[in-house]
Amino acid sequence: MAASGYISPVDESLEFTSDPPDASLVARAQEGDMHAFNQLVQRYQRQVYYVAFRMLGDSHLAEDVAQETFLRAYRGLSRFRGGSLKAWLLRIASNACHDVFRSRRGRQDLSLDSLMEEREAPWASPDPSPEEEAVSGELGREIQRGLLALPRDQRMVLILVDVEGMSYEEAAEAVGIPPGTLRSRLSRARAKLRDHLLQKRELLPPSFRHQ
Amino acid sequence: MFERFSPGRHRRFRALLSPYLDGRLDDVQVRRLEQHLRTCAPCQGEMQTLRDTVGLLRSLPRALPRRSFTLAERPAVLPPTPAYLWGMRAATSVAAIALMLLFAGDFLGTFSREAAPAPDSGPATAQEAKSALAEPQEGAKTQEPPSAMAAEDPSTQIEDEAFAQAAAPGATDEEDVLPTTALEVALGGLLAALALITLFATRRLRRRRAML
Ligand SMILES: [Zn+2]
Repeated sequence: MAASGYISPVDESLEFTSDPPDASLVARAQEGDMHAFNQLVQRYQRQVYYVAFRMLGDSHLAEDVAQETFLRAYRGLSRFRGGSLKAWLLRIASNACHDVFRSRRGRQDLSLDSLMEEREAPWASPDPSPEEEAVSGELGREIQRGLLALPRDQRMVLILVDVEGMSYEEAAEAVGIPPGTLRSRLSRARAKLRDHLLQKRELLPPSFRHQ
Repeated sequence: MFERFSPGRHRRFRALLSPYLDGRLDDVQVRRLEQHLRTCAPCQGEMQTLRDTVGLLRSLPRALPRRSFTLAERPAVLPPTPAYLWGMRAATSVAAIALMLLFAGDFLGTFSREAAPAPDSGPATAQEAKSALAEPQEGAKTQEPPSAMAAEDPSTQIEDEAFAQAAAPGATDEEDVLPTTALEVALGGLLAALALITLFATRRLRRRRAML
């Protein structure tokens, strides 16, 4: 991809250094301090990547989106007006995801074949909890299918709040809507995903089937 | 509380279930909803499946990126910025317009020269270049099926005559026009090449950007 020339090798030394607040790193980065900027990248790259991954259902496209997000963030840093940096970054990522959809218009939303590749993607916990165990494999893929079946605006708020664990306020900022709109959009998205999953009852844990 | 089993009432409560799970209702709403849930099994079922759905989403295993997205120390040459692309696009448009103007001028000149008596002193190279430019049109005309030709012929004749008549008064300017024709053709070709190159470059860049 075009950006590959600008990617540095993983700089592990950055990862566990002291953690100055976002605002001071932003201020330094705005003055051209690349090290400060890259500390911010290190701080948020996993979230940006993961949101894009759930949004697109494809790890390669998610990596492209993540790289593009930080390039756009670097170029647009002077336009950052404070507030939640994470929300700002995820808003850029959301736009980058929409650009991917736009460039793939005509095709079905990213194919379900790409979901199969999910198995090869690295996961955060090599030692999954029982809950994580439950949603790995077929159920996890069904959840991702359900996400991809949602309208994109609903999908994004569901991912931000329930998958990424953001607050209503932060998620609303990331999507650029009032919290009240987010609340109702999230409500509809959850109900729709629930209905999707109830069509695959056999995959669901017993607790889910009490209805 | 009044119409306990009206569907509208259930729908209103169901819209509250999602914010209820997030603790986003005020005390009055919570009290009313909980009271309803105690007496309405369907709504209670809705609430539980909704809660389970949120629980599944929260326990989805987290995929990690295979690489870091840090930027190399000072990306001195930024990837093509929108301004750069706009510049390219502007250049393409300018080249295209210049090209159109040149060709238009050239064809008018061609017709005017055909209408006027051929000058003996006219530079041979310019004449050759002019006829070479005119050739594709004639070739295309002869390759057309006879039926199409029959339909088109009168109009093209009229056009030719109109052009000849319109251009006839300008024939006196010929001395000024002719010497520049070779230059015009060369410049036109150059601009055409430039336009094509920029067009392709922009397309490829745009496609690559769209991939991101
Ligand atoms: Zn009810």
